[in-house]
Amino acid sequence: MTSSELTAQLRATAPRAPEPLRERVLALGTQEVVPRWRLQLTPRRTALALVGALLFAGLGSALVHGLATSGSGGEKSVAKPYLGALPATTTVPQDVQQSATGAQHGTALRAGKEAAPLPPSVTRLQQYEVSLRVRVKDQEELSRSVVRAMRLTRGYGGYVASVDYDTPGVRKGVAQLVLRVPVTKVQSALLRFSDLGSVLSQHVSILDLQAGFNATQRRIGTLRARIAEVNALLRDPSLAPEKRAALQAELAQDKLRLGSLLRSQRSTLREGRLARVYLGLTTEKAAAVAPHRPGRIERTLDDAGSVLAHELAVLLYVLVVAGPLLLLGLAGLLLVRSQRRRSAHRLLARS
Amino acid sequence: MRLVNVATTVRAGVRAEAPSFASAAERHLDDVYRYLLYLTGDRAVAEDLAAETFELALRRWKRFDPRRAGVRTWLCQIARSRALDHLRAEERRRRREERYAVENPQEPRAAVFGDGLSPVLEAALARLSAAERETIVLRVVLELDGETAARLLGISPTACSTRLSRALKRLEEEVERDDLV
Repeated sequence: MTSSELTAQLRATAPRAPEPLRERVLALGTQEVVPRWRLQLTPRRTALALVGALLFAGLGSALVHGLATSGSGGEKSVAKPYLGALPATTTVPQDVQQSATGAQHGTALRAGKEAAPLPPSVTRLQQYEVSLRVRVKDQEELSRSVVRAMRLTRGYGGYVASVDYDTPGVRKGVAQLVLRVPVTKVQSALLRFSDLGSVLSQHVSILDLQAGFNATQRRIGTLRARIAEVNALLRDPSLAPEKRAALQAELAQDKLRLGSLLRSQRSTLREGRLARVYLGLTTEKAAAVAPHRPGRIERTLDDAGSVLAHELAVLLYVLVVAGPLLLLGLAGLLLVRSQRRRSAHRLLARS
Repeated sequence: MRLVNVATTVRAGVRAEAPSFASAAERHLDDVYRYLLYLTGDRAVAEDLAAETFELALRRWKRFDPRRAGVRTWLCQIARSRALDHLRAEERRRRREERYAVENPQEPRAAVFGDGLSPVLEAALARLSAAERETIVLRVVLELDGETAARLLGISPTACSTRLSRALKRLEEEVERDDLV
């Protein structure tokens, strides 16, 4: 019997449901299933409802927070610059210790001027950089100020690293100076530079070099001790030739290393000894900005926006942390479904 | 005015697509019964399972979405689930009671799979596994298309075609074996 004959016979002789079953099932059809009111939640509807609820809750709480805090009014708080004391340490080369007089000048406030910038540490080696922008009256004043700045720098024992002077228009002029001033005199120098005109802005950057310097000092000490030890060994006439050769090679290496470390140390000292001042002189007026007081709506939106940003950050964090777990869960679910399908097939194959 | 007319037509169209349970039961009872018969190989069991299937279908009728699957496919899915539960229970019972008959003397079988089916074909069908008979009943007897049958079985259409050709080949071999004997 061919497949087509088999299929034809199977179709032709397909059984009908027996009458008792037919009556039983058709009787079901006449029953009224009283529909209880129930929310038919499919997975899709549930997911949509959940997402909608989360969005609503997030936006709602952000707005409520914004409304609640915007009523306090006033300007937004501005983070104050850090002016904390720097940690005290141990050794510092004597030639870079700051004089007490210089430190006092550096911290004194001058009437009508910006507050003096953060002074360098008296106990630690630091890379000290200051940016100062000063406005002068006109091009003539600009030229005089540049010359005075250079003289002041040399007077303090420093030097002028670079000058860039430009007068693009009839009344406009700008000059950029990079000055190296002994760190013990930098506070005083900055006050004198501030006197050249009206200070528009200033910025201080401090990088601690002490830790690296100390580490290098320790390595230098260790190397020197080892070099002395090897020299003492080499003075022994009874030393075997192979041993002598090995020690001489080691000595040469150590001397090279020592030289390199000493050079590095000198460079660090130079960096810590001389502060870098970026002095910008300009004839242009800074744009007068009227202090803007945000309105209630603006404050509300600002506050709500920051809360939303915070919520998004939290959501992102949760996704990053929970994401792999969710993926694992999904993979597990797919695996379970696949296994159920396979076990059903095996069951049918056995039956 | 035009919009209202269109809306009314659309609403009427939607209502027409979702049949009543009574009409669906009358129309597809034989198909469900045949499906269960081929799966279980037992008329009494097939009857019980068919009744359970329609009882469950009635309870879930409001949730049926005609856009996702046809009524017959949906009913067959419920029937399959019932049949698998029954087969699992049977397997557990057999293991528990240790009455699994490996070798039974061949008793003359009453016609199970078809009214007027030849005894050779009847016996050959009985020797197939439930999985093989399932594929045959869905594709041959109920004449479901490959995609629908594959979706019901939870496999790809290609795998479904392969299963069908293997099942028919096996049926041929069983029939030939009986013919030779």
